[in-house]
Amino acid sequence: MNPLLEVKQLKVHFPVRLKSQFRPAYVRAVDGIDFTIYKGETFGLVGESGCGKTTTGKAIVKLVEPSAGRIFYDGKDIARPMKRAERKELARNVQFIFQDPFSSLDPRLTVGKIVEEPLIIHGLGDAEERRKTVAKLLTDVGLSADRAQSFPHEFSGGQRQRIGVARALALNPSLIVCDEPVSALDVSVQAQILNLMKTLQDSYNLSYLFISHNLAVVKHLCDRIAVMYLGKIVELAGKQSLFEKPSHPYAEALLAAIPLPDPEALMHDEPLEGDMPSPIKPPPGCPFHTRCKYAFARCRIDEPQLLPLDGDADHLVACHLCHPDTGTIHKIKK
Amino acid sequence: MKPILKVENLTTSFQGEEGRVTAVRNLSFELHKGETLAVVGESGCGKSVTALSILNLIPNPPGKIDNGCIWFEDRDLTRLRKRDMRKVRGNQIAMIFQEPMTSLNPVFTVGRQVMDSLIIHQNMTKKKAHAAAVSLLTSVGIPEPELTVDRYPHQLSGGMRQRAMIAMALACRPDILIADEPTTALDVTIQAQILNLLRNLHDEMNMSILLITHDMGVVAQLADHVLVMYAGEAVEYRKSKELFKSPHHPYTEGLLKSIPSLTEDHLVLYNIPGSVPPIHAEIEGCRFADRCSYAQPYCREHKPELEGDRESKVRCHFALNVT
Repeated sequence: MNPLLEVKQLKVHFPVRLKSQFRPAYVRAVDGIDFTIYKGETFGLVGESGCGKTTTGKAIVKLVEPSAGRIFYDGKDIARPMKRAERKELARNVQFIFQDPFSSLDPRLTVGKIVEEPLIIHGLGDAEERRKTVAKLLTDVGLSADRAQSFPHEFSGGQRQRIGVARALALNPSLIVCDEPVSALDVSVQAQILNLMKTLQDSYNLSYLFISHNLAVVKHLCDRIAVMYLGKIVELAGKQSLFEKPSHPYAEALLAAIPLPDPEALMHDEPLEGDMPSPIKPPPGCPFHTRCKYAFARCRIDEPQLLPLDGDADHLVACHLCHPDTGTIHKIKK
Repeated sequence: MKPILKVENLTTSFQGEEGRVTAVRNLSFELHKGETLAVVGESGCGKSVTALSILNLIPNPPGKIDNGCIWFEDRDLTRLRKRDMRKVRGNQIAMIFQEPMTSLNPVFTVGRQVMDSLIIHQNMTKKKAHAAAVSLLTSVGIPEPELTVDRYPHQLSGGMRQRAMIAMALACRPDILIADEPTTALDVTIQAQILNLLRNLHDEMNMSILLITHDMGVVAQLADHVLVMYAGEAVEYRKSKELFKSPHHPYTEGLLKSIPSLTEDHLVLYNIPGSVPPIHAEIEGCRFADRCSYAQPYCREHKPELEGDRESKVRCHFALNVT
């Protein structure tokens, strides 16, 4: 399989000013992550608010500048500063779908104009060709082509997200970064959009980076999933193996915390205590040790590396308990 | 047993630019002592308006309760004088709002906001109320309650703010707690903490909870009974366990089937085609007929009523799973 996008030791730090402190402090939004997205794959990035998943997505489309690390798209480094023409070239291949379908569409443009705009910027086709392309795109996302003259406010939330999808597809990209594309939608509409994204993946030959806090949605759509916590990837595995055998204590807790829509399956496990530490001052050692019920002395000093599990090279976990060769205490479960 | 709260034929409407829109249509339900009733539905189905109507918090104008009674302790809350309603609100019926940051007052300490209702409703002295606030914060699981009581909302995390909101609502040991999407703004691990807390407090205090939510997972975890709303109307009322096992209304079935499953794999997700009818639309037959895969011509002409016995009601001519 060919890697389409490779992220290597990506760091994004934002400077903040703290009171009575002269040295600048940094929010370590993304703090050294590695992952690869292969062609035709859907890669999921899950985690709770503030874990750095959105920042990662934004760094890939160059909406934020990385502080360190490299991002390779099709073998070319895109993390470095780029010229205008290079950025345009990148935008043709990598597109973004935003979370909120209400604020991500210009209220003063017709839907036709919104979808046509990328084509104009990139000088693709004449007016007649563009009109045809827009009509095809709108039909492809399940809207009727004659609604190109309507304005965004005339559409419902689900329909607006369809417009956002059509806009992202306009340049025929190979990778779309989707930042919580369905979390603002009701369940019945969410299902429509998820199905649409799956259908389009086949017909447009797309790869997705799918960012979400909703594990059920990620499980439905993604092939491989990375779980992020406090700017770091703590577990990265194929869908099946992650959901059957979550190995990082955080991934385990995250899965256990989802309320299942089944009154017979009540949550029994004690929920994870406490809150995520501040990304300005991440704890030393393992970022999760402050909330981890298995934590031991080493976790507080030594930061675990993201390493493959025994017998499963595709299942990476950053936890001392999972790598007995590097530690002495084995994971004890009830 | 006499219900603690009885809503009868509640109709609430708002003045819009294009005429009056009815957000809740002819809604009736009962809430019993110690029971958790979940009101579920998608955005715009009228579930929050129902909650606000009960507390008489509908802004008037543009909103107005057009019709119906809300019986609580042999009094109709819709006809109560403002002064009398204030004695009920926050005292006997309390509410938790969805967004803890916007519903707490940023210029007062958390303790002060918890104390307020104690001082007003229970005539406590400031000193006593302060002590009570500390013990309330302890009971909702806030660490270092003696310090947190003097902190401001912005100094707390989202989960802690929601706990403070719950402490405020519980201050006067209300008979009824209305929780409007209490966990929607929270992360899933924090949501699990809050759900656990609500369940424990409910068992401890034996209060009735009216839970407003769109999340079927939350419903399954907390509710005894479920009222499903669609486009301003109640479409199904069932025991929670039965509803999840065998939904009677096609909308409920669709809603349950569209949730991506964690336990099973589906290639294609079920979805309810189309979208909710515009709120001002006057529809002759069943309001769900246009999206319903079981709809018959009869459904479009004849409006179904919410029918059934005390434990199970459905608004459908061709209810599913009925023997």
